[in-house]
Amino acid sequence: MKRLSRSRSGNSNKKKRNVGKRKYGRSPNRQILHATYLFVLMFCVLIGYYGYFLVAKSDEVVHNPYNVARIEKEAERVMRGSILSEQGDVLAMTRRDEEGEESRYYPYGNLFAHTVGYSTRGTTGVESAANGHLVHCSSTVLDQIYNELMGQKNEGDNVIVTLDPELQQILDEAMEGYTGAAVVLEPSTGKVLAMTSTPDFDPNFINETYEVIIADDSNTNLLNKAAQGLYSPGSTFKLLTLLEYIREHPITWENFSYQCNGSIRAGGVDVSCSGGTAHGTVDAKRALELSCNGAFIEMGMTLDKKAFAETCELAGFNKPLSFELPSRASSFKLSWISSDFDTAQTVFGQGETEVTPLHNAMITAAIANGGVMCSPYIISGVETAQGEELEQFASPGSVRIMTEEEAALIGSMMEGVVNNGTGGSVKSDSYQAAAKTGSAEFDSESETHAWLVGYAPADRPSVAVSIVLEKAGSGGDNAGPIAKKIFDAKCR
Amino acid sequence: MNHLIVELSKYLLIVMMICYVFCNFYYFSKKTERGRNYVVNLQIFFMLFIHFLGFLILYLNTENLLMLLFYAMQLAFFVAYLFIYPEIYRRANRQLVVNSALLMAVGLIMQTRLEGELAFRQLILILVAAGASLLIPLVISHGKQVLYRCTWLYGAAGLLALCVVFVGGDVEYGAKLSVKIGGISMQLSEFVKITYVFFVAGMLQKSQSFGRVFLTSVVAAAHVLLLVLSKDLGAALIFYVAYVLIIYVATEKLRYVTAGVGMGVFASVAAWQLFGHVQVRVAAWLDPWADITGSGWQIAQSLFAVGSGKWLGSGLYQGMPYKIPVPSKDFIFSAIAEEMGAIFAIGMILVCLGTLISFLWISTWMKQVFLKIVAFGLAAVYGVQVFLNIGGVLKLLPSTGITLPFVSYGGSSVLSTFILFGVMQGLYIMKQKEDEKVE
Repeated sequence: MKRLSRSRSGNSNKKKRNVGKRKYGRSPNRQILHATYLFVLMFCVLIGYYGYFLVAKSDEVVHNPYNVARIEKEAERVMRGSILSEQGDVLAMTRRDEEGEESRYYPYGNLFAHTVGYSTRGTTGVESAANGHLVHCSSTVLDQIYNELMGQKNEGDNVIVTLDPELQQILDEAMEGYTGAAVVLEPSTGKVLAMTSTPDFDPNFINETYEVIIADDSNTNLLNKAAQGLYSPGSTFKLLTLLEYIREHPITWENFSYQCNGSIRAGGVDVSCSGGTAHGTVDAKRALELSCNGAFIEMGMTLDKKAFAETCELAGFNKPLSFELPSRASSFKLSWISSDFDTAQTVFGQGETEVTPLHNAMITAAIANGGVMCSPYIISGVETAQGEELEQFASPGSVRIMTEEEAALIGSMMEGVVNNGTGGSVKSDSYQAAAKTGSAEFDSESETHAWLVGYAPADRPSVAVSIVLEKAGSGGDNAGPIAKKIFDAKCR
Repeated sequence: MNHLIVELSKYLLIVMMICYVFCNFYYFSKKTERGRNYVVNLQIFFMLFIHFLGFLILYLNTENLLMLLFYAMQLAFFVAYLFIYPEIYRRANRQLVVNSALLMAVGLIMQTRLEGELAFRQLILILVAAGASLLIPLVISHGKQVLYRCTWLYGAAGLLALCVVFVGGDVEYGAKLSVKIGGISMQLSEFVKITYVFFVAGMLQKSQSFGRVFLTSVVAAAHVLLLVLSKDLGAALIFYVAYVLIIYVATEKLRYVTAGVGMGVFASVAAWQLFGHVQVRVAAWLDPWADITGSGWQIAQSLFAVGSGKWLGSGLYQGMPYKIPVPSKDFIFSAIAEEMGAIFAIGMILVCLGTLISFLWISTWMKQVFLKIVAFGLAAVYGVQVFLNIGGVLKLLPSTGITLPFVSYGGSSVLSTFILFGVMQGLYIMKQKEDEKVE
């Protein structure tokens, strides 16, 4: 602005006369300078905002469903990234043959059918949830420029998942022959270590088999029942009934006693214990170990239904789970107007209560984790095709659903279930497991659904499981051995 | 091979733009005429190279021979404009000439990519406008004795033109912007911008007393009100902001500015209360995603384009700028950002800023009140318009539906911008002549 001041001082009288018009006594160039600063500032804000938009907001904006045409066009220019386990195993990858034809390959076949999903006929599972990352290339600009100059496609980012192929293999082999679902979580983090739903399918051949599968309404091959299947929780629900009972009788619960003679009349119907067994005199702990329906009805009928509903809702009932894959919300319908019949049915796990295997695993993991329930997650990170870490994800949130003392108390009783009760099938010499079995009736003619939820090792839980086997009979006998294989693998 | 050239050209285009912008500001540090001429010659080289690269990519993508013909026509114009204009006006500011050429060249590249036919019409409009405005510097330097006397003529003509638009204007995208005169659709507010600045300058040249300022403000407010009623909110905003700035420079009194800003806020709230279309605009700005299929559609598409382009751009013909409704007019900047990248687009912003600084610089040299206000007023109009346009397409500000001077498609916009540049050239030339006389 040197020039500016020069011109201000160099006001020649000659020129004034020439033009002969009114002039300022003092030139208002100072004001023009102010205006110049203002304009420069405005334009800097403009450029700054542009940069901020690109760095901070554009990713979210661009991945809008209404921008699908551009996303697809970008996807065409990127070779879809791989899906890897944290140990580096390839769960899904894109292969290219000599002619440059691309195909998606799932090395583990059926193993991750519902979790990793597929991308060759629409997208499902992680292929869908992490689609934006898989078709987006974050390699260095130089790499991208090189690829563009060479006419090569850029490589999409790789997505890392929490799934453990070894554990998943063990789980799937153990589930062989059963229809059902199972979830394995890491209690302290919410990581989904394994998740299965049977029957399943091979995503490598989904294009060939899709029509056949959907032609038959009755099969559930494509459905991830681990997160989307709603089941009656059966006796596994007694954990929450017991929690509520302890809360409402903090001092006297230890004095609870019930004389079981194999059946009880409640809400106008007779409810018998499993197999009609008479358990004799039981206290609260023994009632859980033996899964005595009578004792739980006796306890449950005294509960404050409103408080019980609050306990359950805090534990995640009646609201959608925050999870990357599609899931359904568990439901708990008891309220202060519920009839005695409904109440009696609900407190031992029958009635209208429904739960997904995933949610039941979360509740179990919360007990193992000192009362804190971590939301589960399956996508743990994103890296460039060259393996450079871009993002890491953790559990989307956690909530305390019971106190540490309550969790320890219920956990110790679950150890009793394994040591002296219905959960004997998961007992091991090398570690202490904690569990609760369930055999959920869903109609009077079929076999019951077999449930088992549990965790191990009890002192420092590294794994929590939730298994449901449809029409398989008793939980301890059928689901127990599957859980034991998982525990054995993780607690060697 | 073609692919390699196209890709290399894409990056070279960005490099050339960076060089151009560097020269654009390096110019200001040069004290001597020779040094400046040297920098401007470099700028001319970079500008012609950018134009060449743009059409090279367009041609290789389409392999349409018409592209080459069209390029040749444009090149002929640019060469004539860049080299003959400074011959006619020996003392012209050559940097303003090359800056306007660059803005037009990038506009033409993008319009050709979007819709060839429209780009051809734009070139014709540019030729006509360039020819028509050729005499303006002459008028300014020789006719200033007459020009400063026509104050009320400017005011009356401006208000009349805006009334004509308000009464008989064609409704386009919900706003009355243009009238058909003799079969040609004219967006009169583009020209009223200029008469308006002349009017204000004429009013304030004699005195800057309160009464004078009040009278001027009443007429200025009438302009703004007519524009708001015609739903031409962008122009209304330009007129208002430019007026407040002019008052500050003319009166040197901050309290007028405070009063002006206060009244502006009051008027904005009143307009928001009274007019449904203002509310729609504001709502679409605050949350375009809420009504993405309706009022938020255009701004959402613009953000998709800008966001997809990232820093380097998708490359010409590799993006989808045609998804933006009417991309070649108000949203041309988003189209450029998508396919030519943010670095290039920010270069465009800086070229506009460089031009604006040249304008402001010229205004500081003016001794006579009338000319000083004219120069500053037109600079302010230009600066506010660029800021509103780009701020609007980036969603920093509500989108107001105004063009980006010399880049957007539109005859009225091109002609009025040529007039504006012509007036500034005239003032610059006059000043140069005076300096020479003194020496």
